[in-house]
Amino acid sequence: MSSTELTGTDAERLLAGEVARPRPDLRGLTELAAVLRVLRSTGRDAPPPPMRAPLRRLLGVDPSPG
Amino acid sequence: MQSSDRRSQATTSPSRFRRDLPVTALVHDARAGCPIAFEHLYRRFAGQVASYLRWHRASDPDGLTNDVFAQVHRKLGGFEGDDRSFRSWLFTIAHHRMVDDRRRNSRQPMLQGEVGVEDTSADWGDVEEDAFALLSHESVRELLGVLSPDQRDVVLLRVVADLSVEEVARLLGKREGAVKALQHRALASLRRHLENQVALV
Repeated sequence: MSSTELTGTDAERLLAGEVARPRPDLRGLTELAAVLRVLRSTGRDAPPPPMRAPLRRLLGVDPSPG
Repeated sequence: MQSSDRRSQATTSPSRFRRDLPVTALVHDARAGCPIAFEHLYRRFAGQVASYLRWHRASDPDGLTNDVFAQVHRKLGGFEGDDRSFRSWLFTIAHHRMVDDRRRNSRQPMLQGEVGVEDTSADWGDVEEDAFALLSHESVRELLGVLSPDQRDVVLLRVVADLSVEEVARLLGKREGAVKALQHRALASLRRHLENQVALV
């Protein structure tokens, strides 16, 4: 186990999606950046789920009753 | 051309979804009762909301997303603000829905999942690509289980919802310093977990 830790600046840069070279004393940083990239990509690229009948009726675009 | 004319023209074409339409114009038209404008808002943000709910292991992310937008539709008349404000307002509603769902189900996330990532000793760019390619959504979901609910909230709101520290603090009713401390502890915890995973490879 390493004695060094992630700094607040490291955390802020990772959350901002900034790619920086890894600190050699801090293993797992590359993998952490990859995890955040997966999360970020699902936020930006996910298709919208189908709009269901109750919401369509609320908008007045679904002619089917009840 | 008057601003209101531009806004009206922004949503007169229902067949084509355009991501470049200003959110403020869409909100304006949706508040005026234009369903097409609301559908544009739905298409712009519903995927992101569903992802946020899915990472939180909501019981029915797609259904909850519909519920969120039904509430948005009902409350849209009281909304005032710009594009960023709308995103923050939308995720406030989504977050409260998620909390309600979490309470209803009282379901704890799984812990200690295996995360398929590779060792790191080469250049950053290629190794990060490799690690990204090897990560499955399920492994990321399991990894999030090492976080406390507060930490998970902050990470998902910052990364998936793309909210700032200030917006997350307002949404969660916390001070900005507390949000920064939570995000720092969350990422440090994730890194330590990943470090251990790498050491086992």
